[in-house]
Amino acid sequence: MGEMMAKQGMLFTAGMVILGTITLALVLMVAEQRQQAAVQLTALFGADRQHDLFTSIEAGLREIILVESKMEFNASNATTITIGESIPSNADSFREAMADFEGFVEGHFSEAQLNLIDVQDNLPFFIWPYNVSFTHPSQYGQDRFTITPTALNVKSYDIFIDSSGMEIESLTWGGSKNGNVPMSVRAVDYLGNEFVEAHQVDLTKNVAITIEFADEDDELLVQIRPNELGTLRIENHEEESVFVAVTIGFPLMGEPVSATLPPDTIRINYSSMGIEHRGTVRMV
Amino acid sequence: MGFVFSMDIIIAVGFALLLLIIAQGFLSVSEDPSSLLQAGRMGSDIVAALDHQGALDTLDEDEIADALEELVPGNYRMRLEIITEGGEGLEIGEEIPAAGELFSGRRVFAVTDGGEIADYGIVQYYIWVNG
Repeated sequence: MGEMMAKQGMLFTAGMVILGTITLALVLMVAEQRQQAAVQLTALFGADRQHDLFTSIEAGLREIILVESKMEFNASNATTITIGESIPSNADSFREAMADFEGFVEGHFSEAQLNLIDVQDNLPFFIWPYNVSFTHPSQYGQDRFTITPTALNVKSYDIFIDSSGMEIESLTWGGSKNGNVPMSVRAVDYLGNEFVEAHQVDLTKNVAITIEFADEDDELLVQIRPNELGTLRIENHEEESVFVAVTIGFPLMGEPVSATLPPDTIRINYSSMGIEHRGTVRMV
Repeated sequence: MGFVFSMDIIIAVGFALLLLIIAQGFLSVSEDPSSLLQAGRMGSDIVAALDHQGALDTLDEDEIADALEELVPGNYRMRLEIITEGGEGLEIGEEIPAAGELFSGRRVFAVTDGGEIADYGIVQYYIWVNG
């Protein structure tokens, strides 16, 4: 009887030890999972902070470009984009604002780095998903801008010219008038004069449209340069600035058209968390 | 023998209780951390909206406070601390509670005034669940 009780006691103790070990193992497993979840949560918090900083810098740069350059961007449907600006323009305040913002951000956030050299010099944009570049080849603020398509993937050009300080005397269309790309030019001035001309052009041939101003020596040129990969170049040789807006039509590609600054304009690096984000500024 | 048996039970029950207490310590959660993450994202969106609406451009405590009140849901509280390169310093919203969990983040912004960029600032925001 005594032996049997002793055996029962031992079995009970052994049972409790096994149960306890299993419980302990479960507890340790849950604890490890909780620790992993905490690490993942910390990474998520870090990613959120990085996203916060990135999007706010992007918004700040976008605001500076829109306010200081007074450029206009519009992509109201999936296949056209309009970019407008006055040429020539005073770019000093734009460059100063960009440099100040860069200094401010990098001074307060050691993890942030802005690459604005090209942006301050030429203020280039890329039009996606068509890989078309829009830039100011003689430095932003000078008399010209260019639009360079790849693989001649432009479907149409519509150019609007608004002269608020000079009377437009004439619009002369030179070069290609036979092709499969519709191109139109509409020029208006502060006196209410309006000149409109539209043709189908061949982007592999020269187009040279001249806008003459009354009582002025120089002119505004709209050119397509086949020897420069079909670049559309618009240059105003007058000192008085003129607003020019170009609407570019593209074939439908399934994703909406957008315009951005060059890649890697903004870089956020949280090296302690192993998080790095490189990106750009989307204007529209 | 009965004494040994009783001791056995006491030790086993004590051991089990100890394990339960340890388990409770590991498993106890005061608040779901993902809700804090959610709150943080909301705080960031609210500050982005204030920037987008132009409220931050005013650098006016009352105007920003009014805009903030319209955006913050009733069960949340928020505080903004704004400093600018030009030396402005604003504190808007509720006092930060002494205890409890909150989320904090920072965003930069540009101040537009009269059609030109006039200043740059940083908003430090705090958001927490009311009560």
